[in-house]
Amino acid sequence: MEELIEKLKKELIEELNLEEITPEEIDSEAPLFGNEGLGLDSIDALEIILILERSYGIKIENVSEGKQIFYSVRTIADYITASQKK
Amino acid sequence: MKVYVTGLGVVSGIGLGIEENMASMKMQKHGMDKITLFSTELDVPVSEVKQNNSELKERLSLPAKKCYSRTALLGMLAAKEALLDAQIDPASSRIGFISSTSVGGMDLSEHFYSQFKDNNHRGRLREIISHDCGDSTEQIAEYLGLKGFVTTISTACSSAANAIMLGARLIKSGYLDTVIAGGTDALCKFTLNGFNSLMILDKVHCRPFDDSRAGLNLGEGAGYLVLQSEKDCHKKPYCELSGYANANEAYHQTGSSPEGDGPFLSMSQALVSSQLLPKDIDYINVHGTGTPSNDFSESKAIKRIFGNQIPPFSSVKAFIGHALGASEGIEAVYSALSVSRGIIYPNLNFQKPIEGIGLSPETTFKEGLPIKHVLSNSFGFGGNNSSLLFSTTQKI
Amino acid sequence: MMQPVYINNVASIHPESNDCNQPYLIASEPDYKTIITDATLRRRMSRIVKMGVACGLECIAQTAPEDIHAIITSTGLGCLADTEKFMNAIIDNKERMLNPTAFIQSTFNTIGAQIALIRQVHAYNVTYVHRGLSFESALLDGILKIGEGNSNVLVGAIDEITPVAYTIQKRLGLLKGTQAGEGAQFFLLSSEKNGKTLGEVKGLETFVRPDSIEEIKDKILDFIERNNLTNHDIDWFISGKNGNRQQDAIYAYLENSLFSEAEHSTFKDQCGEYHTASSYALWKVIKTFGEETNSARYALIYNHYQTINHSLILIRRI
Repeated sequence: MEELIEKLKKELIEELNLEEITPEEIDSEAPLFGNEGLGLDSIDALEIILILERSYGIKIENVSEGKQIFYSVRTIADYITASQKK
Repeated sequence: MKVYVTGLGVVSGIGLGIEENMASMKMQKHGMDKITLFSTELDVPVSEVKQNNSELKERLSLPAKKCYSRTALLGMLAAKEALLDAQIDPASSRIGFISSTSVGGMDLSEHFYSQFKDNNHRGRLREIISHDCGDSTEQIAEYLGLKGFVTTISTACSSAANAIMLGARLIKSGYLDTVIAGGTDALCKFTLNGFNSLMILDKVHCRPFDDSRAGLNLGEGAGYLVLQSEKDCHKKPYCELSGYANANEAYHQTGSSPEGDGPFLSMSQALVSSQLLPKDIDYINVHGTGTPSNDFSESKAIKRIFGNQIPPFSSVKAFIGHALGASEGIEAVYSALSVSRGIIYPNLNFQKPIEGIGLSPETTFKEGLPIKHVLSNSFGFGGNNSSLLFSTTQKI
Repeated sequence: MMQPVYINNVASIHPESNDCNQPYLIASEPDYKTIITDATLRRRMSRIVKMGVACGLECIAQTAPEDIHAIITSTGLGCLADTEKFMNAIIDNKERMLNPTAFIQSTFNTIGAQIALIRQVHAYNVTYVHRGLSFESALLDGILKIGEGNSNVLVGAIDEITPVAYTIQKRLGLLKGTQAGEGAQFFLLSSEKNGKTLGEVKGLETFVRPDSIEEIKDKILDFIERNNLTNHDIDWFISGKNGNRQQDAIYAYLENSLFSEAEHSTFKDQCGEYHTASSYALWKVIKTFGEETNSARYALIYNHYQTINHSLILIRRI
């Protein structure tokens, strides 16, 4: 799981173009969206949906579905693990 | 100084010309169907103008072998109708033409690029020369024999409203006497994929203002108004362009503020500009794209302004799709006819009000109503919110 | 023009050297981190968007958001790199799994929109995209806005050159004898002078496809006369010479006739040829007025793009 979390952090930094942020600086439990944490927005949500599809073969059909899954890096990792077990 | 609307021209997925569009509205006959204009992996409903480019060229008596962007062809058809309707001589230098577009000649450019990409000696140059937004405007102006001031506006979905606004301001400042203003946009793969990547397309027929709405359907077309100052009118105008406003929401690049701040600003400022009160509005032609975000925030703004006295309103986008740079050109024509003929258009596919909002649009076509003032909204990416007000010329 | 239109601030990002390794002139860019401090927005911006947004922000840095009554931008070709990126993605990925950022950033009004977003300016916001008259259309709108009673109006122009656009323009024969370029300029127009005012826009005129040199000369004389001046009052004539002999013939003619007594300057050798290059010329005039090395009272910029779009901008020194 920790390996997955590390991979996810690197992917987020790369795909979302998060300049000057290192994986160590991302708190796995902190909210990704809104004013706290990384302050991501709805366009980032779309890009995270793409990461899930490209890297993990998981398709999310609509953005509102993504809102709960993308709360933090941890919740995304949990979702990936659960989906891959199916 | 008052600015009057003396000519109308429109081309959309539900018809060529005013009367075809009105007949389709009356029969509740929408233009949504599968994509035929280009090959694509995407399977979503769109509202295409039911004429291919060859047929359009024939209608316009243009040489069949010459290359024109579809955006230019649609615009020529609609602008020609407007010009003839207003009965004006195009050659005067006091007549201006302001057109808007979001895609320009992209229908041709994307075809050029598919060949150019792997070998930059390939690709027909005549397909890339129409790429820029100004091309369709210049083509239309040349086709109509217009010799005065010409320019192009591109502000995404609110473009045509801004073109119409500029037209009125140029007349009021004395710079011009007559302006043909509106917009044109053709469907293309670039835009279809762009909206798909934003996950705001509905995979089925859109449901503006309905609780179950899931996105928009794209459309294409063109719509133009002829605006004239009072002293230059020589025929009975359709209505007066009595107010307008452009405000920037500055909330997010593509999303809308949950309280509807941007729409609230443009609608209130349009009312102020016309010195009308909310209770004076008889009908609202809403932007109503069918996206969860737009319809919610537009509803919020309407409630903030109109309180308990919400006027009848409807979205026409389940008929004609979202025609982007052309949408307010087409919908301004519909709004002018709403005042002139007392029409309210039906909002198709509505069953249940948005939860927490509770507003219900009009669902049947009505005409002959005593409509004095119509508000028309268009909201674009980049927080660009514009509203136009059309008013009767009859003494109230 | 009844209401005076002053230029109270200017900003520019433009080429500063002619790197012979490049077939076109490339703008010298600042460190954007210090100007566009919002990393969330900055990370999505392509080069042209950063150029335009940074330039616009610099121009209104000393003005409160509520005092800005309009943001009016212009571009001839828009955000080419973002357009190319999205087009490539459509083809390479066969319309699947496309990243939306390039599409959003390719919209023509994105620069004006992002300036408004960063500074929270809720005023009128519009973008003109009309070939060689894009900037002039924006300037005209700005002048109208001042005439309508607005105090401060931001007007800007942005265009970029990319390897793809350069190849296409070359194939189209648009660069014979001339060099393509790029740049961003913004101007804060105002109804009131202040301690920083350097120039006043006295007149603006545009016309297309003139039939002859005579017609151009008559239009210029007519324009000057409508501003209650004669050609002898023009101390400084700035022309859009771009190195193409055929296209430059009109400028040489005017320099030797109507404006033989004036100081002559060019600008496209510095910024290159592109649709909104005349905005660089206006920036250059205002900047030079500020340096006081020039004693001109009236400067006239005359430019045409590919002999099709012609413009005249008359500036009075303050």
